[in-house]
Amino acid sequence: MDPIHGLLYGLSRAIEPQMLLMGFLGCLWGTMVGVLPGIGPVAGITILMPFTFGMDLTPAMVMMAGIYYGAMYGGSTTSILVAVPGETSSIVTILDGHQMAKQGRAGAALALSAIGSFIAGTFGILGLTFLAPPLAELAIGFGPPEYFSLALVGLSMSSFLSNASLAKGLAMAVLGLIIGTVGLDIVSGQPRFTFDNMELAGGLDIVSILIGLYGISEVMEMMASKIRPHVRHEKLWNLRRLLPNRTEWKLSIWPMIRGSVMGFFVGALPGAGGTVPSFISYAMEKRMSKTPERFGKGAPEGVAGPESANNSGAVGAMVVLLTLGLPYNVVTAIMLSSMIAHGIFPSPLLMARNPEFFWTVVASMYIGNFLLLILNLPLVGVWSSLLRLPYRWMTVFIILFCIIGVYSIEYRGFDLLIMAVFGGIGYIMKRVDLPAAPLALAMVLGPIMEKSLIQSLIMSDGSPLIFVTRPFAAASMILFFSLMFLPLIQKKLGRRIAPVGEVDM
Amino acid sequence: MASHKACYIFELYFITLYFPLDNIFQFCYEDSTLCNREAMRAVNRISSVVLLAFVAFYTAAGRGLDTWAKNAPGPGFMPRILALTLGVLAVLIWVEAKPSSESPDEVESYSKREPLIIFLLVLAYVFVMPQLGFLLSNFLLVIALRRMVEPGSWRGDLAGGIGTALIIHLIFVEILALQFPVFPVWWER
Repeated sequence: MDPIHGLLYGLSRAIEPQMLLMGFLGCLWGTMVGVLPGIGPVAGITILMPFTFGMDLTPAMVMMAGIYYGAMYGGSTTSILVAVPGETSSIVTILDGHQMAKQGRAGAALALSAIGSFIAGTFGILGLTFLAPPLAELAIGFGPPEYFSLALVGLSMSSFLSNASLAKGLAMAVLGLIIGTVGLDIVSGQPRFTFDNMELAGGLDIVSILIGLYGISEVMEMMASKIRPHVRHEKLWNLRRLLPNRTEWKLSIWPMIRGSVMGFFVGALPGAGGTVPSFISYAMEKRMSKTPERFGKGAPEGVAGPESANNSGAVGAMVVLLTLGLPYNVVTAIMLSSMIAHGIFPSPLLMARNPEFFWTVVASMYIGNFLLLILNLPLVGVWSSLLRLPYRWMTVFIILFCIIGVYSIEYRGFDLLIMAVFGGIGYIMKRVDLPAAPLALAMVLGPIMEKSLIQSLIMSDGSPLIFVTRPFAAASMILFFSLMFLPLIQKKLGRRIAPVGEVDM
Repeated sequence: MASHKACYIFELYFITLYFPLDNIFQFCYEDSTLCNREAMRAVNRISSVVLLAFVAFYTAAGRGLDTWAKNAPGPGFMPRILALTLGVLAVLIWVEAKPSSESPDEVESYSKREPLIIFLLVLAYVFVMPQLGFLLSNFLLVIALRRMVEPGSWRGDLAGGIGTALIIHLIFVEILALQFPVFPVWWER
């Protein structure tokens, strides 16, 4: 099926009432979790993930994709209105978005953010439509050594991107891989680390662990930090106040286009997702501006560029998932585990074997973008009023949703216990500065990595040289080792790469 | 020109990999209070020791697994590589904890009571729910959470507890037909 026919077929499926409903619910929930500080797209998807197990895979993925980019849209609302980022990719929006709000241009900032996100999302989806098929064709030639080295690079990048030190990030990634070794060995079928417990034979349930790490521990963190945003009430639902003026439009249109293009390609790189493109876009716009001194004081480009970049970056991350079957951030890792739970193993052949699934998900993103524009702009007043919800009620509902979600997977008390224990562990990890993202990603990538490592060694009669004799695997390995040793070399040379904050912000 | 721009974007991508997001978070949360560097160092050392203890446990638990079987890696191959790597990383975390002028000086202030209560209540729920059933356990959990974390009036909390338990029951058990043990074990008998 060529891209045009695939897309038309996908559109015909995506406008079915069930798909529209799932897309709408996903966008609604995604915007909500994006708006609420503390609950990001990861927690938003993990909490709802068990409820998707009873559905067919296509509507389930349509809903999850809606949550992902809905959270990207919603995250900017709190950044602009109250200077509290709903999720990490909206952090940079605070710099100019909140300044615009202070100058009485909150409506314009929100509109630029929503329209920029819409343009970027649409561009990203076009990129996905036309670039995914050739990329998948290229990836058909990949064997176990390529998969192992690509997964290794993805994992090391995610450790790099965590806020903690590289050693801590990598330690958490290894811990995640260790969790993946519990259960039956994939080659011999021999039980490993099960301690004669039947419930451990199938391995530790990833969803229960993720809900503990991201749902329960987030609630504990929310209650511990006692951070409550103070909402300045502005009458934002008057549409006239939402429209940017001519100058703001003129200044923003090119940053939107540049952010969309750059965000898509950077988002597809390991570990980038939506966050890294937003930082790059901000730095890029500031450097390209003739008046960089306006940045940080309410420059519309500082909102339009990063917001566009983070949305197309989110779609870029989906390209790698749907064509290679490799998740490069936690959200796509969760989507992968959901696909596996439904019996579909994403690979370069996904488009050929399951075209209806692939194209319906892609087409539903187009429709989701329209839904989000409608949901976000006129209803911005409603979303901002969500911040006034009493936290004690929010915690109650999040905890109940986590419990019900985990228990409904297999109706086992053991899974609830895993969730509770990992909720506690997740909270301690936050307090001692150990990042959860590499652990979560490694749990999902672990079985893929072990399988491809063993297959590679069988192919080479036990010689690890197979990873350096095949060009793509060798290139990935060079990237991996440079990532590992770059900080050491820099330290030896007494130099440090100046962070973006010092250079450009 | 285009290749120059592409190089610039890649340069920024790698620079951003080194960018500590905490720097940005700090100005979002202006209430944060000072905490000394020593505490952070101690925390790193404790993390290192805990990880090393875990490596010892993991290695001992997997000692019966073969590293190599016939012409292929055995079930103990991956676990041994992982244990060794984690051990090295735990030592690195210990080494990193040595005094450094670059250690962060500020961390957020936080309360210990609420998270502990939430954790204990969720843990208690795990053991109580199969005995008391979904309806009663949810009611008790809501009441306990509200009374212990951010209490309102008794009447409001009770009404909220009953209402929440009934709504959750209606949605998940009656409409979505999830198979929860609705009533206590003794009631079912």
